[in-house]
Amino acid sequence: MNVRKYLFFFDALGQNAARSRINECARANTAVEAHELTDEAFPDRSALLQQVRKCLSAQKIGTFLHVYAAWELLQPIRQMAAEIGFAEKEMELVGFGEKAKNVFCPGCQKMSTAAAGDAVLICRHCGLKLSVSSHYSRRLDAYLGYAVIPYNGKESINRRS
Amino acid sequence: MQTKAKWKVIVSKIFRETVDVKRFILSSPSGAPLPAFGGGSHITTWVRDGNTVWERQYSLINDAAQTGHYEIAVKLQPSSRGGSRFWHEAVHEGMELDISYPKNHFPLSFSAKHHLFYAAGIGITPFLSMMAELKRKGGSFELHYAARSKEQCAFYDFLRQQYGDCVRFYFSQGEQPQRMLPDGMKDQPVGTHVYFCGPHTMVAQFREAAQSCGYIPEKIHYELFQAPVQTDPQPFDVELKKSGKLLRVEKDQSLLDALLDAGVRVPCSCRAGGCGTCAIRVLAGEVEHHDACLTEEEKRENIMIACVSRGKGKLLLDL
Repeated sequence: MNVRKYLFFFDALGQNAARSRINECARANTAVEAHELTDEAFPDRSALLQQVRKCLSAQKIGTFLHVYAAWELLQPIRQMAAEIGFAEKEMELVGFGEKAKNVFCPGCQKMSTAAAGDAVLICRHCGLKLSVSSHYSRRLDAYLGYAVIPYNGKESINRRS
Repeated sequence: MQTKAKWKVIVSKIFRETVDVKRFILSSPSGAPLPAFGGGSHITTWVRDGNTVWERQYSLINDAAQTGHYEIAVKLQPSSRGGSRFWHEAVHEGMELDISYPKNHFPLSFSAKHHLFYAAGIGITPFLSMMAELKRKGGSFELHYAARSKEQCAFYDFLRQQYGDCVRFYFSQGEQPQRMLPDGMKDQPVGTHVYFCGPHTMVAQFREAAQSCGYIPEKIHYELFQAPVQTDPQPFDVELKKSGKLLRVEKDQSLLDALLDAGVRVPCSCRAGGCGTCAIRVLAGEVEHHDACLTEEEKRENIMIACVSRGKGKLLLDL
């Protein structure tokens, strides 16, 4: 890809990694635009995301997006960037910290969240016990939950994740 | 996929669009709906001319929401090998012909937020069905369309009336000649996809410009309607490993035509080096590539496109 501009968003967790990447990009003699998403500057999460959306929407073709941020911030930015028309090959997304997973319930077809490392959860909509599978949907940014069905008094849980 | 299946239709109406473009309405004889298609699709047509059957591909130009008929536009090619000449001079209303199911090598991107079309001459045809679809679905697009003059610009009035400001025309002849340039691609929002249809040189120029403006290959779409013009093609020989046949490809003949003439069934579609259907593995010999679809890696792996590429000397083919 012939990059005409590197666009960075980073937060406190991602800033060290982001800064060294920004320095690399600056050496390539291409325009670099960087935005620091700090809690001080944006105490309100929705105002922050609105600002990011405004910035992403204004980008022209040839922009390469880098996001270095906590997973919980990275995921909505990734979603917005895709909606605005960034292709996967036009983004570098680096997540930091705990990564909660969206889990899709096969019973009620709604979304729940599993904390990092949790292999089993209860669907918060219908109460079905779910194990987190490795079956990932990019469209939904979610893992398919498998219903945990007791058999002979034992529960079979898919341990892969 | 039923690529072999044929469908009978009749030419229900013929319109003259410009001095060298005619539009044909094709309907099913029973009045039953024809197979559905998406914007950018084409059909293969087979028309019988005495003992010859002309097989040609044409884009469907009507809105896919109209299921009762298909429309195609045929430009009379000055260097016609017979196909477009027959369509212009002998095909008449009420005539029956065979067509294929619609196929689409040039679909609209589902992920594009804005579609930017560049057409040269009869390269306008696939965009007609695409724009109809986008207008119906509320998609964002603009068309840049180059022709020699307003009089030779097929569908000029229709486009002005249907799409108004979304269309820009460039006429190379007349008092204020204008060239269609790729510059407008640069200042586009990041969700833009570009589409090109026209002769090889135009498509090559616009593809290169799009890449240098920062479009990734996934956002660049193109269709060729004409095989590249080859200066001074040379005859060459081919040996088919599996059947042991030896064939001579004459200088005014393509490898694909030589194979088909010899009864070797090679699948093919666009005949312009753009779709990759007639790819063949070369076991020995040097290939002169003229296609627009193989990657550098595929070329290194000795794949060749039979409709446009040629051998330098003798080729041994995996057929």
